[in-house]
Amino acid sequence: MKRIGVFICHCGINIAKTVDVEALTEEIKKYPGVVHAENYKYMCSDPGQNLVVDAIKKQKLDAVVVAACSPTLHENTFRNTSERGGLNRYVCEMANVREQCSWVHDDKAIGTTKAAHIIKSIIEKVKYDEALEPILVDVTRRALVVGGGIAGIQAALDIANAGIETILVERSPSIGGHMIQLSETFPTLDCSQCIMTPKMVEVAQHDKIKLLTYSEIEEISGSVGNFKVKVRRKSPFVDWEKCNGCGECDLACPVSTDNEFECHLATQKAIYRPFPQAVPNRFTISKLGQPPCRIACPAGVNAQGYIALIRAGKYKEALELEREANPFASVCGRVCNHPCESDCVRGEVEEPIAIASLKRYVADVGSYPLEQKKPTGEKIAVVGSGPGGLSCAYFLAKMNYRVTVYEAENVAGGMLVLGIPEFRLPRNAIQADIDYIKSFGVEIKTGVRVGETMSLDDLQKNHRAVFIATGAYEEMKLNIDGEDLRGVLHCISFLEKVNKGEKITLGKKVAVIGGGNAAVDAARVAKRLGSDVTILYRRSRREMPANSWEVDEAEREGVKIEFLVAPTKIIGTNRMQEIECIRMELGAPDASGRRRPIPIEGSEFRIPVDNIIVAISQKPQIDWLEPAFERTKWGTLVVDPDTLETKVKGVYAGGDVVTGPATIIEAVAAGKKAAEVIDAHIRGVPVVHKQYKKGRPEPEDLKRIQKVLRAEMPKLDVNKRSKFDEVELGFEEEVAKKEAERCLNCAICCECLQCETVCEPKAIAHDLEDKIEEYDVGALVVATGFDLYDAERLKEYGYGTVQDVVTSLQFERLLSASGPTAGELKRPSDGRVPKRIVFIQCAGSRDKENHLEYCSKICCMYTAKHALLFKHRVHDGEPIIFYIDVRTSGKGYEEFYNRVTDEGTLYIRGKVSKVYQDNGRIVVLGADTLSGKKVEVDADMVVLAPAMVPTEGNEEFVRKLKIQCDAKGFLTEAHPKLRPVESQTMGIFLAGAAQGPKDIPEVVAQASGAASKAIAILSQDKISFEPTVAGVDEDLCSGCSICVGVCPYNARELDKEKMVVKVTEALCQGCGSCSAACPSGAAQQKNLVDKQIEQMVVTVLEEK
Amino acid sequence: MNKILKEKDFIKRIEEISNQKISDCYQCGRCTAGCPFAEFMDAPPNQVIRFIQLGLKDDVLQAHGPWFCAACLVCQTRCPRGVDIPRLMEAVRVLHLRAKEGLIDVDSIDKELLLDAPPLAFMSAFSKYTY
Amino acid sequence: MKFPYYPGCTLYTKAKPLNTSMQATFGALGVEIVELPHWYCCGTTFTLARDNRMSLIAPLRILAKAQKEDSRVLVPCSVCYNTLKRTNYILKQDPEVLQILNEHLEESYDGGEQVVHPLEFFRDNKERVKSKIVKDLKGMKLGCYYGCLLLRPEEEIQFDDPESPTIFEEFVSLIGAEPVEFPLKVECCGSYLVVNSPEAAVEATYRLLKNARGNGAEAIVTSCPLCHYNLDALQAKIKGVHSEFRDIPIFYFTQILAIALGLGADSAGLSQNKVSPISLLKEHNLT
Repeated sequence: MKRIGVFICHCGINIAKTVDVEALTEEIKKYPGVVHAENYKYMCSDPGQNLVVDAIKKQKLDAVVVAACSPTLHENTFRNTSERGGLNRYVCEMANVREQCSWVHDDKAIGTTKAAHIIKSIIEKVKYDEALEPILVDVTRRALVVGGGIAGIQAALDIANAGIETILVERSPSIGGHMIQLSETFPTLDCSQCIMTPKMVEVAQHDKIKLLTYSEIEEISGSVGNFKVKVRRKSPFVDWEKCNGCGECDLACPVSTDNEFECHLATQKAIYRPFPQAVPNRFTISKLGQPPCRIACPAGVNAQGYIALIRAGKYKEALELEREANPFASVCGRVCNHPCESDCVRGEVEEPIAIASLKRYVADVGSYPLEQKKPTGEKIAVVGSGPGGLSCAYFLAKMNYRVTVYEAENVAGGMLVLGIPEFRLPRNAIQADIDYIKSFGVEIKTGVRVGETMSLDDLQKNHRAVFIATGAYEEMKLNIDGEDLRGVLHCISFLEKVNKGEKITLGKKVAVIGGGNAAVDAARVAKRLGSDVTILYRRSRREMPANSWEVDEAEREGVKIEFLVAPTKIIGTNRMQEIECIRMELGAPDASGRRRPIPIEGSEFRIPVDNIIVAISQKPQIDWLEPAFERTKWGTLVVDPDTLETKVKGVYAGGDVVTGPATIIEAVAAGKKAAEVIDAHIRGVPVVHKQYKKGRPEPEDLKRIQKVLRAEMPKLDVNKRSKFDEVELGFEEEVAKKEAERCLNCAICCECLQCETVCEPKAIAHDLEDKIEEYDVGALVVATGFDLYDAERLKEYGYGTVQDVVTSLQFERLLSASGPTAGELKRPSDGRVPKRIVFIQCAGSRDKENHLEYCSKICCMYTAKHALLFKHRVHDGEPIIFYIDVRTSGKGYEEFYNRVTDEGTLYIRGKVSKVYQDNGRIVVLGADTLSGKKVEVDADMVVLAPAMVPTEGNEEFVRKLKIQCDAKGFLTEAHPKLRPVESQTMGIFLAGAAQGPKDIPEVVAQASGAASKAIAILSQDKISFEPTVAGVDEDLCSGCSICVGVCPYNARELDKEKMVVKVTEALCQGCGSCSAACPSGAAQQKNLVDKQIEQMVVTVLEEK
Repeated sequence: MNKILKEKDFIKRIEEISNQKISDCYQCGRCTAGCPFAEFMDAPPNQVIRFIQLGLKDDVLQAHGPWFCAACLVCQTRCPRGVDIPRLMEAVRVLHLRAKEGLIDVDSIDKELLLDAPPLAFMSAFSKYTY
Repeated sequence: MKFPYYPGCTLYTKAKPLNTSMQATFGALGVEIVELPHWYCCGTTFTLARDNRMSLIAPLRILAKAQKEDSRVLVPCSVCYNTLKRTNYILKQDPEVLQILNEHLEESYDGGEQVVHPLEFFRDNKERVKSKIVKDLKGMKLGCYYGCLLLRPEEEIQFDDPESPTIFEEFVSLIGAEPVEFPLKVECCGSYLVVNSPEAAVEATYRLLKNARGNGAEAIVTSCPLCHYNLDALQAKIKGVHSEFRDIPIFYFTQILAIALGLGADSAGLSQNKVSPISLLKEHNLT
């Protein structure tokens, strides 16, 4: 049996006042196994510890129990003491009779009894304690510092200067943090730039520091001495190895966006460097993804890009960018159904950007000389010269294929020329786009009907691939009586004749049957030919598939529309005279989602008309194709949806022939896709379909945008539309530019590639992706800094509604020589020099009811500094500071405050209630509590001192690191007084304002403290761990692996050969989760085995 | 000489009626700053509260501030310490009224106003200012 | 649709236009508002003394009465609305008070009746209102004056953000007019101080009317009969103190709605307004 000694501490009166230590000692002396027991006033003191050492030696003790405070406070102390006495440190245990006994009881009898129970249970534990040896592990001698503000910089420099390799990770593109934003610093008024930039440069040039900016901690594992850290290197879309920071890209970029470094007081380009002295001095592109307009476009046309270029007046570049994705700029600028506009985010503010009309504008201004190219690659045949066929030819020709387009008609353009009337799409507009396509070496052979003039076989023999894009021309019939009568026309053939210039005479009254774009076109043509035209449509206006703006135009021109009417019979002898119709009502939605029309019985009626034009859809005419080409039941061609290849190898198809009648831009998209697939197949490479992330502003941010109405397209006067002159007249330059200004730059970078053009070192890399890098480090310093409390939550102070109410950080920028006003103090609203500035302290701080309870500590001093700097800039200025208390505890701080009041700052003791604008003045409602007066101050400008809060995302970051933060989100130190720079996780240290509000000198001191703690670990070869880890009794372990799942430290894994779990002792933290979870009792924690716990529980519960 | 903390019962009574803890107030003065009627008061809200904190009963009961309080609750909305100041003002008024010391002399109300103003103006005023 | 309705005393006396326009507008919207049977005064201004439980009896009985009709009751007067809602809050917070007070009632009440302000009704029935608008109020610039009682105390009233509410502006936009923001829209008009310290009420009213005017308001809409009285009737006195002051018409929100619904000047009860809005309405072709 072990010889056990028990040492009971009075802890002054902390324990002794509720525990009768003398009686307790006597009782414990009698307990089995105890050979020695004594008590002392302060057992942790030198004489107290010596009592333990002496007793171990004299009484030949095998184990020691110290009944005193919590083991977190003094376990280590007494284990050291036991070692001095010659015992193994792990047979010394603490019985906590202070926190768990004397501090929570008043009654001495109860306290004494409870203390006895506690001590006895620990005696039971110590009986089974084994002598253990600490686990020794090699240390990775490398540190990682998170956060590149002044705290992180200082810590990194200190560690690196001790000769230890250090990685500095910063999430923004440059180090410098908030300090580099400041103008001057209190109380010495050093210029922040002057004292900060040399340190930043030192970091960049230090051979022991690896600087990873624009990077974030992704994941962390391991423990002190051996952490594994995964770092996400966010893509700056610029190759920083090549970028030399010359800034040419900045000048070329057409997109301006919010400037965070200047606290929203200025703008910056989509490609930016946060400030000219940035370290590293590299450019970064803000890119949220692809804008909604571009994603909505079937052909992926970069609308945000060309709109940005229009704004910059770069029309040629805009046109080129448009044509990158779609050769039909001129056509689509006029007649595209523009799904881009439906998804335009500006539509959520008031109205979408007139994207199509802007496209038309660049096509209109841009008749540039075309350079004739001669491709030299493989031969490809395209059948059909509509938008699908020509697009395919265009994209292939750009890839150096020799493409021949075969067109059955005598004119190229397909439905563009045959189906769409000139007043919507003038022929020269089509020709411009076709000429452009031809300039890439595309050959168009008209009057060649494949299947008649030549066979498809012939084409296949002479070409590597064939693309069929013959459209949908066969008109659907009404299938009602009288459809063969004279006077019944069909829409496409009618339009074709008109478009070819053939003479057509219509009767006085014409009815058009259908509700699509072709029907509306036919009606407007018939109107121009002099007839009285009525459209008959079987559903309601809401269901009409035609573009609503075309329907409006038709009505404006005098076309009538009868809704919910369907023809049942055409009446006449030889020539039609009347049409019989039936009224319809709407039933349940059909497959297309539109409500199905149902005839109303007995509602038939007749309309006398001279002609009807049937415009109810078309289908492809593909009789000429062999049966090997599979067809759908709607008579369209079957293709592989991914590759557009038909059932016949090497023959592809797209556009209306596959989809049935659809839009131009869908045909362009099909042609483009076919070109990409054909190219990939010929080169034998896989076809890549890229998925793009949508980039757009948050709905919340849209609320701030001022409403500006969309530019209206000027149109030909309705009374002058008897001919086929174009109705839409196009934008003037000024209108186009103004309209382009409305664009919200949703994705920020628009990929207009202007930066690429001007970048000499070829550093721009729009496709660069994020990288994950892994680093082994021995210790970390966390210095993630602070943000200012969101001033918009201080609604009563007018921030966000009164322009000249700014935050303290904004005021720093307005004072800074490198700021948006170059150091001249001007207020944001009108650029006037403010004469009277009201400063409001504790904006959000010390307000537990509405905002934050704590004091932000630095605001008193920086506000004093602001007042002084204001006086220095504006000599007759009147700074007025509203405060609750002025707290100037710091070296030289009270002296500084005295200087500020001496130089003429009025301090008013009282918290401001409201700031508002009234008839041009800014009114501050405050109180002077010292005189007991309410005061109303007119100010030119108001500066708020918002509370300091932990940096955004801190809580998630803390979870990743498995360290702790308090309820406010500030990092928690291991001990508020004695271990202020250590986290509760060994090897992770804290520095700077991330741990709590503090000023620069304090931050620097703390950073150096954290660095020295890290150095202390990293200068050892090995690090020792507590051996009280959990093991595995292999005989009992069934390999069920429940413990593997519950282990929070990844210390356990299944040995698949032996089918038992094994433990990485260096990772085990001895939390005990595994032993609790283990169903067989195989997982046992050393010196805390089940047997011990059972005995302890029994002893604690024992009656006296 | 003002003897502070003499009238501790008075402090307790105010706290009971108002259901407020008087020590919550840290005298920032924001109630006074936002009070639309502070300019008409001899002692504005924060001073009345200070008198209560110090137990200066006579000063509290002589102050006109509570009689100008329209219970608009702007101070309560913005108070950083969560003090419902209008309840404190009501408590002071209630102490007067229960001692049968009202403010309004009904006979002296402007006759034109009596005919013109909505009844709830009088109902409110009588419930706040008369016993 | 039927809706129990508690007009409160003032709507039968000095605030008749609010009552007539309530009746007319809800009728036009197809909502039948049914007055509670045998209702009486809510006691007006809510008591702030914890031990004054007596004053809770009147509002409690109204709530109990209303609950017999329906789970919600429509209350347009800001004073009544505030009193009823605060009473409800106390009863929910403090079961002891509820129990004691219930002993004074014929039937017990559980604190569950929902007190609804017409602005809340309009907010939740936008389409119903929109579809009935016949007059074009476009370009009419209205300042929305909330006053105190609809907003504070926030926790108890739960009507809107007490510093920057928007429900009134949404209503004004809904009926086609243009809401004008003015910072003093949430500050006090002087309330019952008009009885014993009229000079304080005059000054408060002046300040906020000037602020509204300065931000471009041509008229003001409000929902509180006492605010309406102060803003409207005190303008004559303001001129005595501030000679530069210019009149500005004050509407009940239901009056302006009646105009938008095309219900005519009688339904809107405009003739009782002290500052006549007629010339303003003429300017906007609304008469």
